[in-house]
Amino acid sequence: MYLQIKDVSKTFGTFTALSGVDLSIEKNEFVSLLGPSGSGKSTLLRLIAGLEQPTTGQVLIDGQDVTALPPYQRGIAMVFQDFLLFPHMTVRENLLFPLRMLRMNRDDAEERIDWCCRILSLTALKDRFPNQLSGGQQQRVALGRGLVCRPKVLLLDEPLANLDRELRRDMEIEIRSYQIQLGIPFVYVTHNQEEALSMSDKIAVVNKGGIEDFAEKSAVYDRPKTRFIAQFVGRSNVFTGPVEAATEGKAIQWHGQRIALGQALNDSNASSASAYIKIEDTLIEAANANPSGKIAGTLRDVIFRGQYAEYLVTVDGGQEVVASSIDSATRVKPGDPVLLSWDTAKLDVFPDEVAA
Amino acid sequence: MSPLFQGWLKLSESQRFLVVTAPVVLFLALFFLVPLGSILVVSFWRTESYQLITDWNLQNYIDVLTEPSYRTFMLRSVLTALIVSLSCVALAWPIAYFVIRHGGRYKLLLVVGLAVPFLTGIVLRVIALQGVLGPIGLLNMGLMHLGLPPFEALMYTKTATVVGLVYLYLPFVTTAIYLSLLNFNFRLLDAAKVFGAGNMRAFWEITWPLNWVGTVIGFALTFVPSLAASITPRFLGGADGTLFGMAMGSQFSATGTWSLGAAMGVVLFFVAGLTLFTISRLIDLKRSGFTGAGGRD
Ligand SMILES: Nc1ncnc2c1ncn2[C@@H]1O[C@H](COP(=O)(O)OP(=O)(O)OP(=O)(O)O)[C@@H](O)[C@H]1O
Ligand SMILES: [Mg+2]
Repeated sequence: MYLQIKDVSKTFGTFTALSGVDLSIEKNEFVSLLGPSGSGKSTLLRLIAGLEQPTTGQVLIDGQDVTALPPYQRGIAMVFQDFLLFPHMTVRENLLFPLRMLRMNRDDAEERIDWCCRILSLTALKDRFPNQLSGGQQQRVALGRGLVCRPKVLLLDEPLANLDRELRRDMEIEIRSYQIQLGIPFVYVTHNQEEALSMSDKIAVVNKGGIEDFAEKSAVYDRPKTRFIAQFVGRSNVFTGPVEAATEGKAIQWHGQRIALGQALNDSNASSASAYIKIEDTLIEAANANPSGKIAGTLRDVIFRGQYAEYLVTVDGGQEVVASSIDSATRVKPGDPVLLSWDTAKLDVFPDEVAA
Repeated sequence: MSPLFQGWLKLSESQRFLVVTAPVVLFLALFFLVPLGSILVVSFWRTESYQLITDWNLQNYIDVLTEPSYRTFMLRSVLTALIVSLSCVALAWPIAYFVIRHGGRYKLLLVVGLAVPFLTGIVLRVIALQGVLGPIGLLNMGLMHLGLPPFEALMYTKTATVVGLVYLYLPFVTTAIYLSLLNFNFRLLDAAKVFGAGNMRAFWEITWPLNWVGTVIGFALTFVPSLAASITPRFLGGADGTLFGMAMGSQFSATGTWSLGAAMGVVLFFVAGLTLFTISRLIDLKRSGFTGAGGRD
């Protein structure tokens, strides 16, 4: 393992920002830390950088325990959410800064800066000051400053948060390609799941100062390990209600509807549970299809999202369900009666905690 | 809409500019340019037994520039002002830095607190200082109380003048540096550290250059009045501590040689102006970190 975080906790006064965090990252992995605001992502990143000291636990980089080392001895680099470019230095001087600190000789340094400017198309902007750059350009300089010293680990704290969608998509692709090119781990903080899903190899879902799951991104998306992940990653419909025995396995009683659970909860005696199904796994059909095992409702509205559309359906119990899977031959319009169905195996079922 | 406001709307941009700036220009002309001009005129005249005689000559300037004692006073004044301003900057930095970093919500209160002695006026402050530094002042009493020998040579020395002036101007410099640090993004130091700078290095690479303008302003705020100081050295400086400002003051009171005093004032004005000019050359606004400096091209 190249970067290891062992049982790290961090408290600020009486507030516990992180507790018992374990994370092991391989040398060429792109890892995203995904979590809601205030979950402790930045704190974890700052601990890796050495800008913050862990209350307990260890940080290891390339086998070396760096827990007690100051940031400047760790060989890491960081791209900050608000860039933090040095305002009194030109683009070139900003890029030179990490190299000067490394006491790199002039020629090598110039070569590195040229390389950096080339891959980030900064050559024409070299002599500008940060306040003479657009947000996207500052972003690229910040990224360049992280790449130029060829760090052991690059930490990125929501580096794309301030960019518009188009620029963001371009940068996602570029950042990923630099990571492959340099062959070093990137630890990328975001609360944008699309970003996490499009770039990373693995995703660590952070919630309330702990890691809910750390796995391949497809696993995190398709097989959420916890209820929080099921809620937070992707868009899902949720069915919560009392559990009852059905002809085959168990089912959830949901506002007069019966949600079959297949094999789920077979070994559990939970009295109530929640089942999650992703909206893209929720199929909508016209009411004249075979209704067996399907839920009937009325199409309320259709929202176009570019490549796909979301169908808002009011089911007969009065609840709302969103579907975005549809057969191309199906024609439905708002007000039409419709049927909803899904593959039972794709349900993610979590027993509800028993109320004390 | 009032007729006044309607009239205002009818004015062109440049007419409005005139209306707004006219009072300021008038004020400056009346209370700054006119006195300055009259000093300049008087400096080319002559005084004889408390009478101004209006024959135009350069004798005053020749006196000021060639008389060895005036040159000594001027040199001493420049040196004193330099030492005072540098000491102020050196003291103000840690104070302002500490207040910003650890002042919490009492920041402003602490800075205002620094200025409290100001409320007493300059003479009282100097006299209070006499009470501390004097032969039987607080400091020496304390020393003797501890069984230590008293400082013979503290009061009525050039050191006492420097201490007095530092005490006088420290709040200005601290405020200037405080305001500068208030606008400084300390997170830039995180970036510097991540990219390989230690604490000291980060200070000299980032904090210092980005607060350089504030520091220089603080320096100038001390240097210029210290150069002309007359009250503080008169009370604290002793016999061999005469400064240029004191000598100038006495031309207007004791000796009644107003035109010579005026010439001394003009010389002082030029020395101060030259200093400010030199200082302004040391400021590169583009490198000050002020957003908006330079602009987009
Ligand atoms: N220096 C500090 N002192 C006290 N509390 C802090 C400090 N730094 C962070 N916290 C707290 O720790 C928690 C986690 O903060 P952190 O910045 O890591 O969140 P985050 O996951 O990065 O959120 P966001 O997505 O909004 O950036 C927050 O509740 C925050 O208030
Ligand atoms: Mg954050």
